[in-house]
Amino acid sequence: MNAPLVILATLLSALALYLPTRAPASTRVIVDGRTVRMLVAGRGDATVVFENGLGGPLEHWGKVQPDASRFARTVSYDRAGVGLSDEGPRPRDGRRIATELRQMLRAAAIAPPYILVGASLGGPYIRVFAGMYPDDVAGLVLVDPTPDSSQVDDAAGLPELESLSDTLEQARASRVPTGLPVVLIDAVAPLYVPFATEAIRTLRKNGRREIEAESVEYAQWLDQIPGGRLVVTTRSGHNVAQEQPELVVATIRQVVDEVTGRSQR
Amino acid sequence: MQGPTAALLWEIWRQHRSIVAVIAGLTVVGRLVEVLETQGQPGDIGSSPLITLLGMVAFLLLFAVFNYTESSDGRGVGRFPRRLFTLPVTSLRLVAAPVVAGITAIELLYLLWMEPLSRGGATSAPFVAVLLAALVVFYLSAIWMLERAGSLRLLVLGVIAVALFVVSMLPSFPPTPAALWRSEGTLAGLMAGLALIAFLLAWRHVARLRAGGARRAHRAGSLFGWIAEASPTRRRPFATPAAAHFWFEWRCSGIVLPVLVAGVVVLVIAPMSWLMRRDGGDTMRLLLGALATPVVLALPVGAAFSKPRFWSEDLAVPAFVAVRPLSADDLVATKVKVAAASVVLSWLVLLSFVAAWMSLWANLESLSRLAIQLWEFHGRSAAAAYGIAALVVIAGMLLTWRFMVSRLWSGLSGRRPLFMGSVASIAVVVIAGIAFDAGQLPGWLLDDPARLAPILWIAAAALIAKHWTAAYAWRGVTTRYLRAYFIIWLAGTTALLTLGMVAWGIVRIYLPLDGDRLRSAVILLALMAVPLARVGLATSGLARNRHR
Repeated sequence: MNAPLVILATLLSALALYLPTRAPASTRVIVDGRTVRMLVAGRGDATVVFENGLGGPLEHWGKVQPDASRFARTVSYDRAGVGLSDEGPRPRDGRRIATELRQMLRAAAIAPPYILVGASLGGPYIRVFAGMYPDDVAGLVLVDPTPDSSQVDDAAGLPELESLSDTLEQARASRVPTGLPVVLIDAVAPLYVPFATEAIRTLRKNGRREIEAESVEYAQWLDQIPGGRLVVTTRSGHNVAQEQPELVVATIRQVVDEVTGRSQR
Repeated sequence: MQGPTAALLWEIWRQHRSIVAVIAGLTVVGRLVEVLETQGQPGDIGSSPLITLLGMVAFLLLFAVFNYTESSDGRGVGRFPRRLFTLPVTSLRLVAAPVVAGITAIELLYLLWMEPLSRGGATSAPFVAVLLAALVVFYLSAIWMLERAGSLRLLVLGVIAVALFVVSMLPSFPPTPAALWRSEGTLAGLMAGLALIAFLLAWRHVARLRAGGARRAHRAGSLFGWIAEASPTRRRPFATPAAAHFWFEWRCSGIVLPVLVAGVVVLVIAPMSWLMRRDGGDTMRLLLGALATPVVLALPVGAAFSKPRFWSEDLAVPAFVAVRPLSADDLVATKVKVAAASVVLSWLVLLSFVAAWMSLWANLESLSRLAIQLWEFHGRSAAAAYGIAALVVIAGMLLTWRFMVSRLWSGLSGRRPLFMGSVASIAVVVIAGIAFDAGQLPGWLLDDPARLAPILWIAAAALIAKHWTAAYAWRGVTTRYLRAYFIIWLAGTTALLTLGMVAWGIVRIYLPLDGDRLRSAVILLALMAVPLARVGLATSGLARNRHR
């Protein structure tokens, strides 16, 4: 036997035996006879619940949830019909999704109140949840949420997009409970174009206009909420949870501290 | 026997009746599978991978039936059967009988397979029939006229087959309807004309051979010799025996992969990139195909490269090499270095073309969108995005090199069953991949992520086996080579691990798979990708083979 390679083989054998033993982190709960996949992690006085954007599995929060789990109990999940969760009944509007989220949390014995964190389309969903179950909500963090004025030209057969106008109407009608800490992260970094074609340049130009319009809309909405805060980032585009996870974690931390009454460092 | 033509055809039948029976069997099985699969499925569904595979094998076996040659002088190289020259028939009939029989057979076979194989395709049946007939003529003409090229004819036949495949696709390329020059009628006429010319040349070649004057006919065969002579020649003496052997190996086998990659780039990728220049999605697909080209070609080339002599089926170490003042370690190290040089040159050829294509006529829209995503995932850093692009190229080069050297252990051992088994394993994997539709594997895993667990354990067991085998295989190799190769292994593995982690970081956001398990799978695969045990085994195998 070659001595140096024996050492290498020993080390790699130990690694090879360790790697497959890592247990899957996500769990399944049954809600109304349907399987919902969720990932519960961390410990703390507060419970943070993550709501994904359109079509994304819970792995969307992969860069945020591990860090947030250091100071709070965290829950991410696959909405019905997304990732590994079973399909749910239609229509897939905000009220349906808020109801299913509450059922899931109850089934998993995760007690309220919750700090809800919603990205993109998850933003309107957590606003509807807060409107429907105000006593269950301790705080809201909206991560570059879908604006109320959004419209869909082609739903492309996606049930949640087909119900988008209803969801946004429900979000507009939902009142944010008084005194609730609300933070909205507005990501305004433009689409970067490494080697642009004409189509991409047009996309960039239109994207910039949309970003400006969204910022105005966010500010107007927050004006109606006492204590509502706006965090603007120029270092991230729409996917803040991937591009700038540390900002999302820091924002959640602020809300958790506020809710639990701990002083910030 | 009623006549000489009947006798010629009877001989083909007698020699290959077992293969014909297999073809018939495959055809029957294929049609039965088709009936079973299409039962209760309305509409125009595409043929299944299994049916396609059975059809492909049946057509390939037909070419084995009409491999109308005899072995010459124990060289293991087929040529036009000389014994037939004494028959009382004209040379035209000698040549025409197998050609016409081959065309008839392939058209009959196509008639039987036409329905399942052409379902859902855009190419019309008569056009395919003309191309198949032309392929038979080109095939027989090439193996008869290029007899001096030996096994190199396989490459020529491969190029002909690829070229005809591209021709078959031309009419369906956008924009449609196709322009007159690439309409089915024009191309069919062109191919028929070229086939007629090939037939006439083959006839003239055989007639000359028969008359005993084949000097001119050898010109085509000696073309390859001329190319070898025209390539750079070294005049200065070599500094070391190892340097001399490197040069010898390079001239014999190292140059093949770059030449093949250049051929595919010029004959296939370049024309397709021009024809598909309007669609950004096509650009992306073709770019992926182009990047895969050296890796895919390294599979068959690597099998030939791993033998002591590239163009020979004999696995014994030639006396010319065996008597060199070099150890088995030196000889294997030379092979490994030649493979590396071959891979680097192949990728340089490919990347030079890609650079020209991207900057001059490519539609960059899809690529630009992908680059935007990479930018966003990695802190909007240009360095990160270009770093990932560089890692992809390095990983491609490593995989190409892996396939070049991973069969040295069996090829240099001189043991034919071992070598054939090793080569057959590639074919088994490819065929199994087609038969079981390997493209569905990610979907199968996503349906139930728990399925990843046994795969992880299998990979872990393979990793353990490989590295303990490596510790055994390298026991007799000099420390100098071990140190040098270990640095290569470490650098290559680090590059693959880095790329794997980058890819995992992007992919895990979109896949509902357990992130830790997915990362474990990536790590295990990266640790196995660069060969270690195989290269060590090659040395001991060659040492035994050399002194037999």
